[in-house]
Amino acid sequence: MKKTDDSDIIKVIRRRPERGFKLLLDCYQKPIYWYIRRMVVAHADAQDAAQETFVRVFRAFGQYDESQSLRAWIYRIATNEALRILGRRKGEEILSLDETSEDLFNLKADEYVDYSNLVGVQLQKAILALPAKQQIAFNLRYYDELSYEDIALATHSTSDNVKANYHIAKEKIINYIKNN
Amino acid sequence: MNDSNELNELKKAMPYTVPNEFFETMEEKLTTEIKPKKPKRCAVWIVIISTLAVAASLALVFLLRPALDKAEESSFDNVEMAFQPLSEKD
Repeated sequence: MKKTDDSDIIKVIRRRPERGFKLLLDCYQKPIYWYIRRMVVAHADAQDAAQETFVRVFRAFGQYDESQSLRAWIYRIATNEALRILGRRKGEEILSLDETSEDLFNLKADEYVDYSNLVGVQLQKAILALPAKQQIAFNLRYYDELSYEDIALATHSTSDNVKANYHIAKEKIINYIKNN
Repeated sequence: MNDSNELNELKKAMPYTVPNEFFETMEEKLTTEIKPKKPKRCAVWIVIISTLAVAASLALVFLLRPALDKAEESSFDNVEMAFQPLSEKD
């Protein structure tokens, strides 16, 4: 099945919002959910944040500037929702990008985590040990294959900072896995 | 994307799962949530019609009031006449 282009999604949303939104969900629902899930770990939290993300995307679409990447815009909203969930756990409004989500280090017991997937568990532990900005840069580059430019737009950063965060994260993860 | 071999070997492993039909359910919920709510035209029309009906009723009362007063007056005259002494003509 041919993947719908972002420009096609935008055109359809402008003409027929409900049909366009369905196209947007077809393209982004799973990637966004998994992106958030990798940060918040618990399925229920990821579900809430993902739903909130798409509701915000739909309601704010009138303010979306077509000169910027649709993908980056959606991931920016998703990032804010995930950080909001993580911040709430620490009694803050939103988690700072320099903070770690240490309480997730041991992967909260959840019926929707397959602990028998040892490689997966090890990799997620390694990622969750990183500060949020490195987690985000790594997750978006490694799992979602976003460009450095799109990651920069999604995180209010610069391409150079994102590149640096990604490479630092990659080294730490590889070291963590080798040592554990 | 030129990544190190170690990362490539991990093949984007993730231990997370979701409930059955989770994505289908989420999509349904979202498409329902974003549907525009139909304006309550019926309620608006009911208010308008009720207001017009009340106004019409009040107008009718004010229009008919002189006629009602006259009718009341003439019935009173008839009663009074009944108690008058009979005239030559009667």
